[in-house]
Amino acid sequence: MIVSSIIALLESKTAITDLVANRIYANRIPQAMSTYPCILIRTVSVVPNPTFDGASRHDYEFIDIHVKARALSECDAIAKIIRTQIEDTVGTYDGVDIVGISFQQSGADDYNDTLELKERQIEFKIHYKR
Amino acid sequence: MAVQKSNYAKFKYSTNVVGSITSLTFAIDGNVIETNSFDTASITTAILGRRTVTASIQGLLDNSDDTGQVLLLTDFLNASNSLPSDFEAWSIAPPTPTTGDVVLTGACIVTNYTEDRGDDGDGLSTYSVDIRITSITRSVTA
Repeated sequence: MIVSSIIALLESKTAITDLVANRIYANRIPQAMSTYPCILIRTVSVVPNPTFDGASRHDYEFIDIHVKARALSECDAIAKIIRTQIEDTVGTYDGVDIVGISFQQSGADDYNDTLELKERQIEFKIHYKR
Repeated sequence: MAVQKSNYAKFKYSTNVVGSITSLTFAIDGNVIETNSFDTASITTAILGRRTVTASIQGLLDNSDDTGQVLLLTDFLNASNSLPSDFEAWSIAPPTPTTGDVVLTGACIVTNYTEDRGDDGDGLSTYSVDIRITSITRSVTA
């Protein structure tokens, strides 16, 4: 699982941290949080590429990035910047050798009435060396 | 029942094991020659004629592999490989054959080579090689 690597990648982009500061979380956002927008990252699935030589040396990991904000337009603007900043990235982040990142799809927008938050979900395929 | 895993067979070309294989297919196609005519019998009789033996190998493209995968490409491009004496040895066998394992060996020539860089631009590049087998020996490891 490489969510920590994606967090490191997002935190390395000032265009993103200018908007969400360090509010980039894995799996869940902290309780009693009151400052938004924020970004939440979740693993959807990991697909291996095994060969006759042995176990997979290159995996594909599909991740969902959830952008949460008070306004849907703000969610969409941040989602757009995230895609621009990370798509086709190559490099090592948090020790993970990323070979490529491609945008897959944007999911339906959502509204959390308890937190009064709008949300935009975008999915990426991360290609990395194990 | 000696069922084997699908990745149990290694393909060796010349003296090198070809790595990163994801699929290996070995095929023998026999031609039959009919030996009777319409008016001699209601059932067509035949004898087995020549057999065409081929193998197809697919795998992940490894540009750093200059002894296994890339040798298949360079031999395919080598115009001097036109005589039977130029054909390379091949074998299909388990990684370390033990008693009772079947080993196939022979000579071959590369007849097709393709590289697929993918249709979505974000996947792994793959290669595919077809070989025409000109001799084959089946042996069982003692």
